Amino acid sequence: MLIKLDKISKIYHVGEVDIPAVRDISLDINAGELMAIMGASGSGKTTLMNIIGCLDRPSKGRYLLDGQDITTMSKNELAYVRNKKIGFVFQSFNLLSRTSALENVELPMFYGNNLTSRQKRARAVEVLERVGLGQRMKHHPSQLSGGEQQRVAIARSLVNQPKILLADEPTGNLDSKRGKEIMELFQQLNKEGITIVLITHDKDTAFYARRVVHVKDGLIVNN
Amino acid sequence: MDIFTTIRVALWALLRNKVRSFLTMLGIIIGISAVIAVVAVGEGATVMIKGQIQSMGNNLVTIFPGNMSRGGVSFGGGSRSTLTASDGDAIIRECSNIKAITPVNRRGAQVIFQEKNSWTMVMGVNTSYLEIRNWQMSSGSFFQDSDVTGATKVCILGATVVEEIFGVEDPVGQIIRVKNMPFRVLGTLEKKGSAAWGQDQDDVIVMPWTTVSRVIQNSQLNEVNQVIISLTSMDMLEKAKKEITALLRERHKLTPSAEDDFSIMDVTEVTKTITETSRTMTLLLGIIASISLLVGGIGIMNIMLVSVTERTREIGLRMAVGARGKDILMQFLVEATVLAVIGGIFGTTLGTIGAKLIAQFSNWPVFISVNAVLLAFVFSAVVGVSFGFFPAWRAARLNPIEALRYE
Ligand SMILES: Nc1ncnc2c1ncn2[C@@H]1O[C@H](COP(=O)(O)OP(=O)(O)OP(=O)(O)O)[C@@H](O)[C@H]1O
Ligand SMILES: [Mg+2]
Repeated sequence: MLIKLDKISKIYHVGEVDIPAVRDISLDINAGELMAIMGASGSGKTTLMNIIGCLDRPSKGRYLLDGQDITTMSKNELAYVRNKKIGFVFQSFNLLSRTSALENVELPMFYGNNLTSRQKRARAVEVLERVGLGQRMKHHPSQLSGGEQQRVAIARSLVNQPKILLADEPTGNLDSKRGKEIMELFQQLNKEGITIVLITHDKDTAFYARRVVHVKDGLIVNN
Repeated sequence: MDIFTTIRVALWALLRNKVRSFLTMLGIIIGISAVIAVVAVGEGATVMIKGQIQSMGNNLVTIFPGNMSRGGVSFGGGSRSTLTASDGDAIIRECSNIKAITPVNRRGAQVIFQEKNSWTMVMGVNTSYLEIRNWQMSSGSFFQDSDVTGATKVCILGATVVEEIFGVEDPVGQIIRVKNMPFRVLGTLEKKGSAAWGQDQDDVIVMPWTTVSRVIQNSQLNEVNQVIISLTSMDMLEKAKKEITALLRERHKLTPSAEDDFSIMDVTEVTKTITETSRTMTLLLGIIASISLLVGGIGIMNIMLVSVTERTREIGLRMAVGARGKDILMQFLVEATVLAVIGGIFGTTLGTIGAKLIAQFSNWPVFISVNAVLLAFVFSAVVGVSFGFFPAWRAARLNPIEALRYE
């Protein structure tokens, strides 16, 4: 078992109000899965993904990643886990503006390793070629289309060779043709052994997943 | 993230906002250049003053009659002076480490040549005077020991006096009138320039001390205004002062409880006083400059706070891909420091140019010391680190989720 969520809850406090974004979710994900999480807007998908990605700590429950208890880890240990094991593709690509695709992709390698700058460059070039952007490496995000920006974000998530790739609405901003390309890329990566969890509310996208989990109001409705 | 990458990232971040970075630096630039220029002028003045003190003579010690520490200085005038030329003779005979010695009798007097006249200082000394004062003749020759014994009416003229009453004419061999008595001019002195306290050292005529006493002051006494001593080495200063004090107390028959009736002044004391004064000045100006640096530091803090807010999403992203709080802290701290240090480099350059300009337009000596430049660097780095810390700490403390959601 790669990921084991055991009665996980996340409650946000806004002023006097408690917002339970995730409620008592238990979920197991095996290594090598390609899984989709679906649900309406505001149902708690991103919150769940942030917890799985060790960006956020659950308010309640236990989370084992690779056998390690995430809930008891310090901030720095979490940062290390994110750096080594997890690749994020965010809902809004979150690329650094006025920064070339290449430098954006190099970013995760700045932390927690001692590669030489030449090795970093070589790896970044490799993943960018992998996502089909070999010709656009020097371009800034503003000079790239939405699909191309998404692929830069995917390249960045892959550069540290993570075990798990978490993608939040990876096709949300793309037309169906570009969306299909991205999904085929994910399928390819999954075949190579990366565990992929993607969030979507698009049935066509979920179609690529071997397993779909539906979330509603912070609860899993079917598995 | 290693330090070189961090610095590169910082430079890159600063270059993204060139105008803003420059304006932020301006505070530091102004502060540092003020410090550099002020210190350069201050140290230049010190160097000049030291040079002037050097020009007074070699390893000088001066003895005055009366006790200076009690404020009872008597320069001839009405009260009887306690210092005599024979004291001087005794010192050179009995004390060690004395190279040369001269009694000094000073008096203002009117000197006249033909229609021109000038009010100047008459210095009565002996034949060691030139050696003691480290002074050279410009033309003619100095007086002889026989002139001292005979109190002859001869004199040597300082450059200013020559200029005032002779102009271009050669004074050597001419007769001038001092207090309406005829004096033969034996020679003229090299120009020496002004002393540390601004007095013109060349506005002087030199003659045997006996002539000043017997002829000008019309006195048969051996009293003198000063005794100037040149030591073989300044290292012997304390020892020599002790010996001289002991000898003079004995000669003046002072009881052990009585205070000295003379004072010994040496150049080191004068130097110390003057350097201290100029150091105080430098310090004061330095404080003013530091305040402007402080203002520059606050500017840096302000802009770094803005920058942290602006780049909240970037910070969140960096955290998401593995940056620890420490990495973020370093990044912003280095950014602030790079900003300040580049400001420091510009400031140093500007300050140096400024000091050079001051030197050129005001004839004021400047001295740019390596220490001041290093200090400026260290100072700007310290300003960067200390004022960058708070913004960097704020950045490091951000929660990655909230940072990523930040609009
Ligand atoms: N930091 C926060 N503070 C307060 N409430 C929050 C916070 N983050 C999320 N929420 C709330 O938690 C709930 C779930 O949010 P989440 O972002 O997980 O939804 P989602 O399923 O990803 O929606 P979408 O499809 O629109 O991205 C929402 O009601 C949201 O308002
Ligand atoms: Mg979402």
